[in-house]
Amino acid sequence: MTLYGNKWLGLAVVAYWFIRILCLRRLRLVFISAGLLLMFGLFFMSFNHHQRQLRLEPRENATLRLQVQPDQIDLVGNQLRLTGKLPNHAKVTAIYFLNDPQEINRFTSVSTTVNLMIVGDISEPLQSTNINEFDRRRYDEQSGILNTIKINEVQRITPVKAARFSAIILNGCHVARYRAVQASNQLPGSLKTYYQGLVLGARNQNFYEQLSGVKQLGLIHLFSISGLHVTLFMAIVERSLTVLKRSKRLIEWLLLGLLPLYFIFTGGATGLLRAILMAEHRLLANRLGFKVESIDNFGLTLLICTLIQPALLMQFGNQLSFGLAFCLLFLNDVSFIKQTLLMNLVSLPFILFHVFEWHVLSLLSNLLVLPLFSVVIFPLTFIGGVMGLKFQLIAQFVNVLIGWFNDCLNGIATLPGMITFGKPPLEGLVIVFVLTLILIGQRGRTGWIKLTILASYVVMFMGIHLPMNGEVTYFDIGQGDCFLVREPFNRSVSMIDTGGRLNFKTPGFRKVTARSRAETITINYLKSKGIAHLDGLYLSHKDADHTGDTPVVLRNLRVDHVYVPKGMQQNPDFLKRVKGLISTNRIMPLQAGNQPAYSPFKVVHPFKPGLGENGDSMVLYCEMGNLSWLFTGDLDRDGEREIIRQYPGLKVDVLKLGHHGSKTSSDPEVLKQLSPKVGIISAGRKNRYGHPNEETLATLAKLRIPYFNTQVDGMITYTFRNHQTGSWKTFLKENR
Amino acid sequence: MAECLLCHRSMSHQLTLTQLLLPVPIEKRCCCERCWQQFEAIHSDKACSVCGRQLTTRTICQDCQKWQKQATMEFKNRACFVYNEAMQAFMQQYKFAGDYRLAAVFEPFFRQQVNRQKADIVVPIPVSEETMQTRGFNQVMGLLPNVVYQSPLAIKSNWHKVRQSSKNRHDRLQSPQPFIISRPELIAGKSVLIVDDVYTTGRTIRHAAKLIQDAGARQVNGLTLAR
Repeated sequence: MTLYGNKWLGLAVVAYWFIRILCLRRLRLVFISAGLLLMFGLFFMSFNHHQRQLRLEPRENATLRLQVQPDQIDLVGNQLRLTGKLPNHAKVTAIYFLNDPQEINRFTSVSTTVNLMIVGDISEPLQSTNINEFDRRRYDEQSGILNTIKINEVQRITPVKAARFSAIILNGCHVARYRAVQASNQLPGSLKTYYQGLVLGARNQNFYEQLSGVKQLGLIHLFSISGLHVTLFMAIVERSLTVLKRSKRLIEWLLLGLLPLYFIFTGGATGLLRAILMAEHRLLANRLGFKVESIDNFGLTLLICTLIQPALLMQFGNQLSFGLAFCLLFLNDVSFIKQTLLMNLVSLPFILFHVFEWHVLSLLSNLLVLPLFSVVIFPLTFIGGVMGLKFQLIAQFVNVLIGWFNDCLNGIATLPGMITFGKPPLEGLVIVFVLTLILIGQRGRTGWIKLTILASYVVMFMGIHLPMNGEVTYFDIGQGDCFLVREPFNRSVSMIDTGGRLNFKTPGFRKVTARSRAETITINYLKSKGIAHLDGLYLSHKDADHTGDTPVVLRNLRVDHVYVPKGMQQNPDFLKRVKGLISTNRIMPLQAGNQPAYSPFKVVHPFKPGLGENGDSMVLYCEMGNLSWLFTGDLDRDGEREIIRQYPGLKVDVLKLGHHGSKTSSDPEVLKQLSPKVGIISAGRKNRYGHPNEETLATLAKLRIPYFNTQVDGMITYTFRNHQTGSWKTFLKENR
Repeated sequence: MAECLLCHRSMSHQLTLTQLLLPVPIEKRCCCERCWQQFEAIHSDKACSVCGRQLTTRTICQDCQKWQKQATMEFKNRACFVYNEAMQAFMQQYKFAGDYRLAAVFEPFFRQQVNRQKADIVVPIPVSEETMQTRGFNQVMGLLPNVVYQSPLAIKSNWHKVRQSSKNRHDRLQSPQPFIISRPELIAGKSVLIVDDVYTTGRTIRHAAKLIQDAGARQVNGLTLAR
């Protein structure tokens, strides 16, 4: 239990490292290393044990006292999100749905460290239920957050009077940060986002929307406060004190004390901790008159950071931060261009593993923008932000400059060049990473290494983009439908419905712009398989839980054709949804008997044009992996019986039960006739409609039809090779 | 913080990525990169195949062609470094000023070279009693503190002391055999590696090689730090 992530990889790295130390043939060093290994192993073991002890059992309506820092309260729409500490020092996140606009004032007035007396439901952070979906539970666990609490009622808010010196300093930093963020809210648009992101380490709601270019071009690392910021911070302190004629000694001692405060002030990201610890070591060594080699400094910093957050190297941001800092140690004698190229090569395996795609221009933008950023944009933002608080004119002026810069980046990011690589196998990434290290270490001839690296990437790319197997996947996207049908070698990739949330408007609150499930689950999965293109998007009918995320899908994937049941192409609501995202001549109405060109599907319903209501649902039939499949949308019993009448010989192996298992569908007679071997229910956990209905489950039991249910199984996948019978996999049973 | 043995500037112990990650011991450097660059390593494919002198291709240099006319002895020497200004300065400091610590500069490299030859026994050229008294150490053995070597050679007792380095080329080539075999049993049937610090005319090492070969060694090769 002392290893995180892939156990074998972890063991292999530790074993290799130990062999490497043995090869030094220095007995004392071997003993010290073994001792340290043992100590750290035991520490992590007891740490994990302790964490498990601190975790609260899930229960409802528990009364708790939560200590919260003012800068860790986030109000988005009617959702209040906060991170706090329980009296036993366990870190938790909490969410509070404010139903009364008056309630907001209670929180916006919080400007110091407070204790909240709350009544709430304790649960564990959400687990992912689809392949490659972001796993909140694991991420939180790695960040030391053990529970999430859904607050039902906040009884009392009382300011905390800190007694211990360390607590006074800590709370002071948080309050200062809160004040700084509050004050910066008056800055104009782009400057505000840049100032908060770059100087204060805060990301406001529009952060990702406004900085889409920065994100796509792989420059987001500039906004995770790290080495650059520490250097700048130190430079500012040093310069200003030198002007005031203070001695170097005094300045260095002062910096030693200030850096930890700066760490807390900017939100306490681990990437920053690395930079700060490295700077502290350097300063301390300077002051006490010994010299640390930068490698030793790095190693010591890594050790300390893992003591503070044992699982830190599991997180994408930290992998990049530490990985790049490590490689940079060996690249201080090469040209800037070569350095940038190599650094991009180092980060590529991590990027592909976590986000599956890479923009060709990110290389160029790093080369060109990075210097511009540290020399111009960063100081400009700092000066504009600080001065702008007092002088409107300066703020306006700087805002225009930064606005231009940001617009340029956003413009560049829309240029073609995004490569949807897919998620490569871990083994492959380990190989290219090791090769990249060899490339950095090798002096002299490196042609063969470069060639091998290139070849490895090409092989991985081909493997992902021309997969031997095909699949039929039922995503767990909550209440709704979204399925993927993919033939081997990606001969055709089709999506049936997109899922989507019903939006209930709450009066008196701003709209919440959360990322849709299509983005976090479906599109994310497709990109992890290297797919950025759909041959067909089949929309069974117009309801939001089937077509709500259509705009998101059309924006993020290239879609050749959108197929709808006949009549729906004239539905104004639907047309409004896809307006400007796909030309109307690519929207194809279908009815029973149609089989679109190059499509694996035959349409068996509707028989007459409709408006895209449940009863008009498009029903698709196909044969794949030695099984026959039927996708029924939300078709009701009348429609089901009509299909049987028109196709009396129709039999299917796998039946997606109509309307999420509602009793308005799944007529027992029809089921008997179709005689499926497997039923599929796609419904949300604890949905308000009570899907699937008891009656449907009883019918299934009576007819002895086994079924998969996304509520229980998570993502359901059937994979197969060409014309061979494949196998079923469900995400939750796999991962339990 | 360590300082360079040669130029006395402080130097960093920054490892390279290869040193850090490859499973091999890390040799501790005793001189800084700048000083190390002053020494010019000889690659064996660009050196005389007989004496190891640096050339542009692998051929036999003129000196060695003369040697081959004189005697038919099968003897090959490998030299590690060019005897350039830096090496000369090093030898001056190490040998004649007696700065024993400097041996550490070449020790790891030289040891590797010796081990690579895979000879049965390693024989350093001995120094005379007199030299031993003034210098305090054998400069060859100083370079190889961690190599197992044998001493079948000795200096003739009536050997009158004129330093080789104080003679001109002609005199040196004329100098008579200074060695005797004191322990022939060590040599018979073995492959022998003779080690010396500098190969100048080749006279000394060839005298030693001749004796050892006549004493029944299977094979005799030479290795010198400089040429």
